[in-house]
Amino acid sequence: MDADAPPQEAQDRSATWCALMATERGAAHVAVGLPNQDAAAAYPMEQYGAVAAVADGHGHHRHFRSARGSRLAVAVACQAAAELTERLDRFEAAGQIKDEARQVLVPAIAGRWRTAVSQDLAAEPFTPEEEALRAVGDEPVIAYGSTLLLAVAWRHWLVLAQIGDGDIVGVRPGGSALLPVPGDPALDGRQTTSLCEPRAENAFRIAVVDLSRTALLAVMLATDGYGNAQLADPWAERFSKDLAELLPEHDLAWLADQLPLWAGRCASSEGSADDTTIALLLAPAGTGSRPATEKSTVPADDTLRSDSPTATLPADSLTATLPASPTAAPARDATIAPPALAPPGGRRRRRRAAGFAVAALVAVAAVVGVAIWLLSPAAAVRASCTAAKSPANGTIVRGNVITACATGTHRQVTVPTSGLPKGEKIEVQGDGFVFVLVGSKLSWKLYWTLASQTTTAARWPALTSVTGSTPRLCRAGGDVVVDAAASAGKPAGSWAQLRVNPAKDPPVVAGRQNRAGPLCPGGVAR
Amino acid sequence: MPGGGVARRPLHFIVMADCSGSMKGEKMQALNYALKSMLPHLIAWERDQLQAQLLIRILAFATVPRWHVADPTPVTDLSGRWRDVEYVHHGLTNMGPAFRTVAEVLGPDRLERRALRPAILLVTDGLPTDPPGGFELGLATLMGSAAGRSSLRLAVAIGRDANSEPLNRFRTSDAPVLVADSIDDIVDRLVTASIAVSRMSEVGADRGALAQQLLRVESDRGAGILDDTIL
Repeated sequence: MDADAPPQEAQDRSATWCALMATERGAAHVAVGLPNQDAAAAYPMEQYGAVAAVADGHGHHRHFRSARGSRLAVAVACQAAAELTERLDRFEAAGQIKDEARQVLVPAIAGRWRTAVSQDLAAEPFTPEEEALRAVGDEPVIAYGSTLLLAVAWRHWLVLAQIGDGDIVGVRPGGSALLPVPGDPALDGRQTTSLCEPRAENAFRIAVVDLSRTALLAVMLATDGYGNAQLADPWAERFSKDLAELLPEHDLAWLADQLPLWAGRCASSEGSADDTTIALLLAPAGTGSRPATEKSTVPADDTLRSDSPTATLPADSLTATLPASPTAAPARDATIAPPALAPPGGRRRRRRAAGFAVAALVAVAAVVGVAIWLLSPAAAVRASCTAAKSPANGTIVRGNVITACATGTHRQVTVPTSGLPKGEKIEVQGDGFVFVLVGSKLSWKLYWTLASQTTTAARWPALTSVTGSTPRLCRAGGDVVVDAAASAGKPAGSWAQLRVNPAKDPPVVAGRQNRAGPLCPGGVAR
Repeated sequence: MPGGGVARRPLHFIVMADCSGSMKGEKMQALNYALKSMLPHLIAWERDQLQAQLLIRILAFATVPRWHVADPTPVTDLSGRWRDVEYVHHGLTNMGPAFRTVAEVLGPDRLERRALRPAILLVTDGLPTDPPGGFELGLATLMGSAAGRSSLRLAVAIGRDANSEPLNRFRTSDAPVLVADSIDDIVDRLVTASIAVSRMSEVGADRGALAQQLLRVESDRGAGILDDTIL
């Protein structure tokens, strides 16, 4: 019997992927006034999977806009990953998916990142001070240099792509570690490959794992601030063993509380002192309610490496993984990704009938769940990621780690600006868009259309008249409200992430809960 | 947290001390005094910075190399149990075998993956006396490992004559050979070198600017090996 084999119970179990993430500014960055140059994005994809990306903007002064570069990287990566899931069902073998990732996904990420960088630069050219930091002969894109680690879990496939350093560790049910992404001899721990290098797509490493043969409890993506802090060498096996023991014993809320602590420990002067970012994808079988024991159903030596042949699950077996309802998740220190990103357009129609059945179950579950939730003493600190059509909460936690989650057919995120220090830079980042507020100046960008505009606070109300594909931002009292209901091409699946980038030391607004409520009436475009 | 404990990243600092016969007398005394004088500066740097734990080794080389401090030793421990290095009677200045010995401990199976780029400080009072090709072979071995190639390499020449072409081939491009014109200069140059080693080893350090500031050299921005940047 193989302890790492997929348990039959897990395959039959109704559940969904969950995504957690946390980031912490490195102690060395705090000491010299550098921002957190890492970025992360993660969200579930409907009921069938999840997408997560982390990126590490290079710390060298030559890459003086790397914090922007990493944010652009996770944005375009998640967008391209979502598009990949539209095509994944066409493939039957890991090799085909790997080819698709190599030929379509990776070029899309690399190309869009460069385009996004160009747009950012056009909107905000280098200042004289920044020009002075450029090395002789450097292309502008060098300033934005960043790594990128991406994971796409979709049905029984796990697609991984990575450029540069950092770690992707799969946690198998028996506690062993799965390191599917091939190593890169060019990474010697002191230099890294980067999105900003010429022909970056060639430097990506790709892996595809068939989860029906190689069960995983979780997948962790981490920037190198995590691995560089680990005393154990190598550390992945120890990490995997520990996490496999922790997962059955704890629920998502506990993990959400822990993740920032782990990142913080690594980012401290007791660890790597570097920015540390973790994204944790929890498989349906990886949540706390799952039994800790497993039964073997596949051959023992089935670890799937990137080039291994794979078996394909019959279509019927895929439907067995449909979840009953989105998982409730308190959002405190860690960012809990919004559940249920809408399926791509074509697939949505095909699944409408199944959706009604699921929706009925969800409705019943939601009524019971909401009743329990409302009676719970902890309800005040729970993000409303549980029920469809509910507005979203965002929680500013520490520094530039912001929690936001949303669900349903529209989502709103409210940022109370009144309590923030003057001059604070606020970014509201979403599924392809970002709003940036500095003082009274507001700018926003749509990465998929690469539109970029800037306005001032006095003109904000004009934004509410924007219709069609533009996420809306409006002001209500001292708050900024983002209504991403009409985000381009994804009317039912927008998400938002809040980010506060302090100019100096990050203000700690831990535990602060943003108000939820339809401050943009109805959540529909006016 | 899963995975066990955390720790600072190791910074391996290897001192290659010339113990050939020509170092006999005042030079050797000055070298030992200088090495001991480096330690408080390194201790202070380790205390003040946030990134690294400094681990020191000392290789005494003459006709053949031998480790004076073989294991990576925390700088505070080394300070507490210092032993002077000693010259080798009639010993030659064979640098090639010394480079190969250093290369052995910087191999990928010997160095932690999370270690910062190592630093190597070569102190000598003369030209290499290797048989033909010996110096080149040793240096090529050192530069053949990723850690050796990316290491920060500084050299202190005791006496103008020691500032030779071979030392220029050893040193990192952004770190010039420091020349101690007199016995009294040895302490100053080694302390300067130790400060440069520590500051320039920090992640994200502007090595060119630090070299200009600490070593008083002209350095093109971006000309040196860049840490945490693209290949």
